Amino acid sequence: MTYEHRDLLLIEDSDEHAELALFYISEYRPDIHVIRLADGGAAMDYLESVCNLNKPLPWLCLLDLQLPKYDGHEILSVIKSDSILIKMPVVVFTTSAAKKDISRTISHHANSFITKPMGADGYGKAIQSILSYWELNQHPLISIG
Amino acid sequence: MIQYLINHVTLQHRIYASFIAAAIVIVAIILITYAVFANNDRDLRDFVTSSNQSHIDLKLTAQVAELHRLALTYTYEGHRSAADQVMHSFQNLMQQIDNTLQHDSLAVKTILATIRHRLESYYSAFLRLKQQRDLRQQLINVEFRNNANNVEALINQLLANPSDSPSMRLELKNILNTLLLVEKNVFRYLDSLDASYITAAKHNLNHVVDRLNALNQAENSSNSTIHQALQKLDQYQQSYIEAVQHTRGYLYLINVVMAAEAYEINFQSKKLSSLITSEMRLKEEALHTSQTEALNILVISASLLLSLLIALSYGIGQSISRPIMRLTETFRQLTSGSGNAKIYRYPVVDEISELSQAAAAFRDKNTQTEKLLMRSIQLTQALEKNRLALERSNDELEQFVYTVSHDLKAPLVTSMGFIGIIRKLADQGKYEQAIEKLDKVTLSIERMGQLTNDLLELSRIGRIDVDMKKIDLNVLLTQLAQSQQEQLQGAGLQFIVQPRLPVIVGNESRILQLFENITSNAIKYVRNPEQAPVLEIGSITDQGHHLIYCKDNGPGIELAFQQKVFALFYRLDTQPEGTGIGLTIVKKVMKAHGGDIWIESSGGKGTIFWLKFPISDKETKEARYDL
Repeated sequence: MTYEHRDLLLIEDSDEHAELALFYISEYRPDIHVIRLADGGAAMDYLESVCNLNKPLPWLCLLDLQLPKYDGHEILSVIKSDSILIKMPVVVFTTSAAKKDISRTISHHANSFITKPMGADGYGKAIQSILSYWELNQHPLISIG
Repeated sequence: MIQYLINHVTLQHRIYASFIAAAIVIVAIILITYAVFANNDRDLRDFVTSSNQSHIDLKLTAQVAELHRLALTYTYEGHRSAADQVMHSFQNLMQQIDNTLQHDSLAVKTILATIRHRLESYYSAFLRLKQQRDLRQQLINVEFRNNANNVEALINQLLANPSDSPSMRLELKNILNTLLLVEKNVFRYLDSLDASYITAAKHNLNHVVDRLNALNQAENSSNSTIHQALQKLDQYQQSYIEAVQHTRGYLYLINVVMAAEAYEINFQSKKLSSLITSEMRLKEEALHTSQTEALNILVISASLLLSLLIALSYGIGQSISRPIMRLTETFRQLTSGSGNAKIYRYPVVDEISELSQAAAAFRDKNTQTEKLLMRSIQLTQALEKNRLALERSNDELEQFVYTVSHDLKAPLVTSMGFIGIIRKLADQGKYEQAIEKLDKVTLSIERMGQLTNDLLELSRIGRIDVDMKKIDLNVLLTQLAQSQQEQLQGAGLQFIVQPRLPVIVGNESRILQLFENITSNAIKYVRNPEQAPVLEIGSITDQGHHLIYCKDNGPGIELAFQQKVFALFYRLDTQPEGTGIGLTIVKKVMKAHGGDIWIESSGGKGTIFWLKFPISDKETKEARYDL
């Protein structure tokens, strides 16, 4: 199995948080190509284009909840109600640790709910763990070609 | 009196009264019936009496006939018992008439008086008859007999004279025989009253007188005896003539006077009878009429009394049943819990009035219950409202805490994350890169400070209703334009404030903050590829409201986001300067002033923020703060 062509969809409004994620992803898995979308509107456009223009389905989606225009919940429900997009694993990666958010996202079939860690090394470890975990998963067998 | 009745006549009394009234009516009917029948009975007795009297003529006729027969018997036979019976009968009759006289009509009385008078006349005639008859009897028995005896004695004396010749003696004997014949004829007459006998007696007497006269002449001697005999003979003749006269007298009395009286009495009694019969007929008619009248009176009075009784019992029944039925209806309504069931006014103090009072008490209780129920419903509603408000406020608080915690964590995560990166870069010896990243840490901490300040502002808005005053928006916005001149110029934003903006009542610093936020949003987000960016503020006065518009020519806000933009931390752009609190503050300020805010925009053609300030509320507040 090779990972060279794997795309990772990062839906994150905060430039700083996106930079952190990109830094650690490139640190651990330089082969992963990150598609960063900064607001809900852009994310919706991209997802639409994935459905309509037969773009390759990203390997994994890291989704923030607090977004301009459409928030993470709305984007999640769009993804999980579409027959193609549903195959893409969605990891909700947010500062929130509220039960309400966890419950709502899990109910909408989020594949994971990870709270962004506060510690100096926490962010990097979280990104590493997420990537390692989804590396072990066999979901690309159905999601990609 | 009426008041007393109203206060003291209970239902029980009324029922008793109706029974007593019924009893009185029945007794009255019985009394009337009795009176009517008694009256009729008297009439009937009267009638029967009259009926008896109608036979009085027969009785009288019979009695008078009997009287007359007795009188005749006495007259012809001379029985004294017959005379006694006549007297007795007369007295009976008189008594009978007197009795009848006592109670009869005037006509009857007149006739009876006539009868009585006639009867008296009859009786007096009878008394005279009796007297004459006695006189005659005495005459015959004494004088006539004496005279006869004297004459006979003288004749016998002559016969006894021996000196007389045989012819003479024969003659004397012949005279004596004739004399006896006279006597015999007179008695025959008195017995039979046949006039021929008296004629014969007269003839015989004349014969005797003639013979004696002849003898006297023949003798030629003045024979004293013959003279004496002649004289006695004369007396004899006189006495029997007298007797005959008496006889004729009483015969006249009985046959003419008394018979006439008896006839008259019969006539009168017939008259009386016819009178009584006619009176009877009248009485019969009167009786019939009075009976009919009595029956009519009985029927009318009985029906009147019965009608009265029916009316009375109906009245009493109604006076009892109507209020009870009304009360039943009232109680029916009352039991269904009605507090305004109609209770009819009932002035009489009795059992029903007590029921009415009970109903009134019931109604009062119902009213109280209704009031309590209403109060309870109101309280429940208020409670529910409060509960909802509390829930909402709790929800808002929760939402606030949630949002705040999320958005305050973000810069922390950022700064810690970058510290981690810096550490890593430093480990790798990339010090320059590490130092570059320090700026990110600083920025994120600054941002956190800004967030904290904004949140503080937001939290203050809830406490603005102190310090409300009149704000002239013309002045306020002009000052704002001046103070923000630098930033406006920096962004190239044209800020137009229309004249004649209203004066509103509000907290000046909050209203200023509101317009600052709107202006700052315009500075941040109004971009127009064709024209210079413009923000125009003006006003329209609507009914009861001041409507203020803030119009820009920026990119506009799609309908889907027009509500969302007022949510805490919600942002349409990833512009780093925004915190997502500005419009939340604006909305909260509007709410705190009793107003509202909404967006009118169609994508790409600018945005209008409509601010609605109430006039009436403002006036009230104005009044309140003027005090």
